[in-house]
Amino acid sequence: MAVEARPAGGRPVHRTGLRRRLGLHTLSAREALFGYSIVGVVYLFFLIFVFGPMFLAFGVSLTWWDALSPISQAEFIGLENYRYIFFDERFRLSLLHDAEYTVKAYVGQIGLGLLLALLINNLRRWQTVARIITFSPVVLPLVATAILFVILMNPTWGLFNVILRALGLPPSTWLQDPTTAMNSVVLMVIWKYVGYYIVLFLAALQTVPQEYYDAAHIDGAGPWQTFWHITWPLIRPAFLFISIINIIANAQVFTPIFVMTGGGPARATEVVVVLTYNTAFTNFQYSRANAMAVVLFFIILALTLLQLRIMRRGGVESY
Amino acid sequence: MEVRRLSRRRLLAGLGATAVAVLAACAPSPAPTPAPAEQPKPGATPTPAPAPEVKPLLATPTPVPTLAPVPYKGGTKLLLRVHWSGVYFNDFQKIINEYNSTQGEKDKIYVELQRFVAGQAGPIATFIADFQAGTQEDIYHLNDAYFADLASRGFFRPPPPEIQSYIKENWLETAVRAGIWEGKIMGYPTENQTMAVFINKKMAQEVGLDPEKSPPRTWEEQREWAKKLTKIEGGKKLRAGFVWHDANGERQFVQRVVMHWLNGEDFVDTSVTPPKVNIATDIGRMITEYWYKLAEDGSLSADLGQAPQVWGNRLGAINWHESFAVYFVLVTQGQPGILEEQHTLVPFSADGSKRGSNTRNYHFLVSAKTKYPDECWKFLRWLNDGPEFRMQKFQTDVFGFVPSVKGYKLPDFFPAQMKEAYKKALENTTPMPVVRGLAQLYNILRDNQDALVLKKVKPAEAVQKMDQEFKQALKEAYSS
Repeated sequence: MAVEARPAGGRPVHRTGLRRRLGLHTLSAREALFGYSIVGVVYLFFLIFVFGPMFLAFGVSLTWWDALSPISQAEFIGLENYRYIFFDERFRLSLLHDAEYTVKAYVGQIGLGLLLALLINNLRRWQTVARIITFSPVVLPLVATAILFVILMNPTWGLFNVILRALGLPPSTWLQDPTTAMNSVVLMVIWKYVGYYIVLFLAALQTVPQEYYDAAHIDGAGPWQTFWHITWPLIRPAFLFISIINIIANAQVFTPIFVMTGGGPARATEVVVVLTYNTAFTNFQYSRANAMAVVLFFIILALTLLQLRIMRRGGVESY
Repeated sequence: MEVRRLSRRRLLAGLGATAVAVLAACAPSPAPTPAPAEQPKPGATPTPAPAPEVKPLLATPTPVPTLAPVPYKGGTKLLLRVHWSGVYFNDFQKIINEYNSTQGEKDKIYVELQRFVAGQAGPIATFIADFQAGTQEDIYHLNDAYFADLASRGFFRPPPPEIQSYIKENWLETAVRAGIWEGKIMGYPTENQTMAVFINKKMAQEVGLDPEKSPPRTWEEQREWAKKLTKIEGGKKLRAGFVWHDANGERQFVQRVVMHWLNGEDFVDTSVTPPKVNIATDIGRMITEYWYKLAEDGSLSADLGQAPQVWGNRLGAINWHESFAVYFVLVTQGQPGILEEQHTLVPFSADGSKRGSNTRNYHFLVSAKTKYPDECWKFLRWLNDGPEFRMQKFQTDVFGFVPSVKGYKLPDFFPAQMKEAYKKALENTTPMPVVRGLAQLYNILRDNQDALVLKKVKPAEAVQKMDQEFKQALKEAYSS
């Protein structure tokens, strides 16, 4: 139905005509416009606050700029920052620390998360209580948790060493020693986030139809066979997805390390983002720090693409 | 049953209203609402707004309501940010309230005090972001770590010559020198952090040592003391003879500045460009080896935790530290009596022939971007000038800093012997070097010295690495 609007003193405008001229005369076109306008807001947000700074960071990485002077004074130096960090031993070391942290945290969070999820999923009673207990560290503020662990890990009067001594075990130097510091930080993040992965795995486990388990039980399958032939194939897509988000999150670690060790002792826990921070805000080599961030971005992107490829090969396109 | 469907128009209107509400919630918060104050009668002397009763020192930090500023009644507004919180912020707000309600009214200046809230990236990132955005404070309260870096980029505006002369005349020469850029005194020094050697008398007596009658006079004697004072039982270290400034580059650097100077050279040679860190000199190597020897003796606290915890829990006996840390960090956080347990010495050279210490300060500086430089200096003059020396009084009484104002009294709560030692220490001081890239130098020293005292590297290797890294850092800091 054509709707008329009559501007004061003007000719009536037929909205249908206007819509026709704009190509919006069909319902589907109008709905598409409405949909794009809603989604467009989100894209605009991403464009301004995510992609914009990303492109800016890449642009700055090709210059020499200290962030203290106006950006107009940035000097274009091409790939010099990339050349520098490529040969910089400290950057390479920070990449190794990043890899160490990511692998250890991945094994701890995903391995323990899956194991506990399997256990909780099999609980006949107290499942909700178990979920609440394991998820509660996730809701604690990260900085507060990190500070708490610094106290617990104090080599002299921290609770962890008190417990070790009570059990007749030798105390650890925890965060004080380069050989134990990284493991100590990883221990904290495993405790903090394992509940999150438990919830994700539980969601996946609960999609497995009970009938399959019943059939396997009738056929005499043991727990390992049931897991390997029924549970695992059905949760594998979820497992791969969870792996991607875990690796992306861990590879960019900053807060726990910044709070617990500051990258020390003796740079033993200096990961890429901590080095990037120090390069930008202590050394005022802002553009070099941007180059480090760009390199880390491409490493994470490559890992993500690799995982996606593995997923597709495994026939899990739905993720 | 009729189902009411949401029309697009209503949905958009709802979204619009939500967006407005979100924007309003994210908008900068208005200035703190002043407490309702009684309108002053015409001709009456204005009085500061009523303040909640706060005690200057608390054994256990507890949340404290922020003291209300006196209401703004006109005049030029100046923004000043400080990093203190809780009762300490309130104590300073009292001083600002006093200014706003008395001299400020006459000067037609109103000082707005804000707590400096550093984001995750720390204060320097906030300074940079604010400066670039033009939302920086008019008056900076700045740690020396970034002074040269920011001054060299034109962050600050020097005071008029008469104020420079006044500062030169009334503040310790070394404190003033640390705030000079291109020959100009840039601001008022504050928060003086002069190092002394603290020895816990109780611990010393336990092992038959008496710091009052026969204190260690050389570094070798100090090493022997540290060995005796270290307590190990069943393979567990219960006490370290010597407190190591673990993971703290600033403190390790200040300690080096004092130690190098006492032995006859500046830690950082600023007579050349770029400056040179004297880490590979004979004195530099000797100090590196000294730390390693203490580590080999098992006398250092590096494996016990960070220095404040070690000191606060009486796990360390000898501590080269400054009074603010010893008094403020420990006494105010539930360690009463720790000052009385100490015997204080003036830091001494390796052979004991020279004694003295350092000055290390924050500075009040005026932003180069302020529209009101004259007003800023007028306010700072009121805050810093004698005979009241309000800022110095605040620093001395509340935090336990030793004075950087010449002849100003030491904190009343210092034991008499500690006062005596500090009086001597302040007679002979060395300044902090004014160099770009200082914060980076702190980190390089920390990373390498921590590795050294944890015996992960040998002294020669540590010296070589530090030398290389210092050179690279300074080369880059001075090339940009």
